[in-house]
Amino acid sequence: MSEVIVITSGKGGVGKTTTTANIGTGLALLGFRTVLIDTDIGLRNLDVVMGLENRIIYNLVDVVEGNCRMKQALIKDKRYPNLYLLPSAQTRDKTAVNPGQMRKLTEDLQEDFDYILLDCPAGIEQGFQNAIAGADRALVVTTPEVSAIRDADRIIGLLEAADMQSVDLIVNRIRMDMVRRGDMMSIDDVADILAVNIIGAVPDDEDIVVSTNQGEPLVDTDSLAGQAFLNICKRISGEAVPLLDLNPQRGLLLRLSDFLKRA
Amino acid sequence: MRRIFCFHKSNSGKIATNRLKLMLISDQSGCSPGLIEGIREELAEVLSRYVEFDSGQVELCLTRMESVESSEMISALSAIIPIRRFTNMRNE
Repeated sequence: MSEVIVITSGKGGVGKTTTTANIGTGLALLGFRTVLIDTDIGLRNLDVVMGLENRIIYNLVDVVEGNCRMKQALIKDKRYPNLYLLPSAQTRDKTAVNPGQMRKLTEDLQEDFDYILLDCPAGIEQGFQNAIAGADRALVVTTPEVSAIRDADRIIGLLEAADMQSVDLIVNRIRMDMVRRGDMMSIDDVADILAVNIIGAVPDDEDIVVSTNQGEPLVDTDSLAGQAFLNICKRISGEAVPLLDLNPQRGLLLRLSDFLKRA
Repeated sequence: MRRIFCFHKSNSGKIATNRLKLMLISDQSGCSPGLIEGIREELAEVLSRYVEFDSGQVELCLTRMESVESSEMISALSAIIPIRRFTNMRNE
């Protein structure tokens, strides 16, 4: 059984591409044959986050236009035997592809892969329409910020209007220290506002920046964000995994200062 | 320094939640945020003559519900106002 999942958000800069890279790598680690498709035509980024930018020969638009075969455009990630990337084109724009062509493309890939992940561009215009066209399932990424949640609400509305079978939310970049002192919306606050299932929360972790710098997804490291991503992958595949405790081990002094602040 | 020694809990997270709720009502209903804020303010003003409450805690919700008379779906506006106490008019 193959599943096509679009990772979207509406607002830019909330971590769609990082999420796609880590969830894709995580699913491959769990043994699923996985392909990542960068649908952000004109602003190609997923290849860079994956560290595969030097191996691109053909791209998504080449496949759609028939300049090459699918197999020629797919980049095999040598670090993970089940993982492939279909990069985007950098010199074209969103109008180079239409939703019908995207549907055909994802259908073709379903024969060979368990999971097809689509990294959606920001916005609600044609790039978004292209990305969701062939998807059965959507993961909406947001951060605990007013602007990102407002856009997520709009995106959820559009996904429902487009009859998306399943929509789940990922709360990215949560800072538990700020939630504790009341300066950041909690996961429960977000769940309350957006009536949608939360499939996972990812802490704001410096390791993400390091991993992006290096072009190596952190899902197979023991960082807190890495564990959070791996848990999301397990939930996607249907495994019941309890929510991760995002509170790292803290010293007595820090806990005392928390207590004083709460008093 | 203020943050380290301050004893009261900050609440910008709560402010964000309340602002968002209002924003989403207007986004989903298509009516302007100013209109909803206006309803909220005037409601608070009228109610404050009779009951004591924290005006920051007034919550407005716009939902879709089935009309009692016909089976059509209509918009329903509801307000949740946590009351501190009723004002005793005779004492004034």
